[in-house]
Amino acid sequence: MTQIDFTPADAAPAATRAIHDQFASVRQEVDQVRELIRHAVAGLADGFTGLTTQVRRQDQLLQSLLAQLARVNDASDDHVGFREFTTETAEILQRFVDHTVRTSTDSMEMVHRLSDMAVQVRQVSEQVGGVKQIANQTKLLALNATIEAVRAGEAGRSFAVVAKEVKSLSQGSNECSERIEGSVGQAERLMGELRRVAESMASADMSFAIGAKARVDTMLHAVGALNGFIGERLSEAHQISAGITQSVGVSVTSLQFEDIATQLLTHLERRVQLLEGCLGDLADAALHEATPDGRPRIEALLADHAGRLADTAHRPVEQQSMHSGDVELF
Amino acid sequence: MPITTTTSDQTLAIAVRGRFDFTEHEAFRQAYERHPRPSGHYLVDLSATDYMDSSALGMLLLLRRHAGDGAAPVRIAGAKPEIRRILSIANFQKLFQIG
Repeated sequence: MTQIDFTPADAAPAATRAIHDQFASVRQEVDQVRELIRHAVAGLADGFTGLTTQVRRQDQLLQSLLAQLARVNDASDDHVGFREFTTETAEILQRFVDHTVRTSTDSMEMVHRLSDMAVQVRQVSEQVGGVKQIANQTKLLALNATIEAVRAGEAGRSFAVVAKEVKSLSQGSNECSERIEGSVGQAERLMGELRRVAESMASADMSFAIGAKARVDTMLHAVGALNGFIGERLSEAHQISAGITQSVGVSVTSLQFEDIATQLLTHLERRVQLLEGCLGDLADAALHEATPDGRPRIEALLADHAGRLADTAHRPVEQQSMHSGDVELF
Repeated sequence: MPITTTTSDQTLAIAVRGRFDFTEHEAFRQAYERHPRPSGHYLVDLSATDYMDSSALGMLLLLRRHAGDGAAPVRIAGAKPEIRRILSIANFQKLFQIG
């Protein structure tokens, strides 16, 4: 600390000046504090107002977003929501499966009937075989009859005619039988084709349906859970907003310190004023009422104090500007 | 033999080994039609069945029809997971005792 030296002669006026200067500085600094507080409180209040506004906006945004999500999920008058769409898909899939099973069942029953039919057709074949045998026997009989007729000579001529007719009848019967067998063969070929068609209709692979059902079930589950999810998130968001608003409220309340602080500063100013007057009067009185013996001591005392007071009188506090960019919040 | 039958305790048991599809239709039908009907209990053993398509589902329904369309309960036992899924998607648990 540098010391300014005063001569005893200068002591009194220097001391008086120095005391006044000191009190002036006190007043100035009190002003500074008052101004700092006012400025800071104004800034904080602005900040909190802004914060509350932003929080409210964010809350609204979130609500509208979740409402839109809910709309997409559920049906309304003008559209089908995900939930209904997924449920419908599940129903369509089930109907497809039911249809497949019905078709397969009917096709398999048709195959059973075809097998039964094949048995009947084979019996027809067997019967036709029997008819052919009878026809061949008849042909032999007719041959024998013709031989007997020739032996009988003139008497057997009409008999020979009958025998010839019988032979041609049996031939006709065989031709019929051949045609029947041809038709039976055709019928059996057609039944074979029918069986192939029935096999194709009956044999559908089920793994496609299994896979699709699993995927639809997953989707249904997710879609069902979505509404619950939306409700939970909304509730959480509201709680957070309420919390922020409450904290802001607490902070704004704390700003009320400004009133009390300002009052205290005013008191400080008054006390300082009183002290100033008191000290000035005391210094004057000390000098003027001093005895010639005591005067030098008083002057020395005043000179000493004056020196120190003069040194600290004007040393303004450097205002360091604060940039919000340099402040780390967490 | 892919299709085997055993009769015990009034129950006709039909076991299907390997693929249960159209190629087994004749054998499966004969398994339950040829045997004299017991007091009505049927069991289809699918523990050795690896694959089943819709024709098998049709065959099972025809067996159920033969058993009286619900009058006699038809049990399906031993189905592997993939087979179970097929039975489930066709809602067969409503028509058969699946165990």
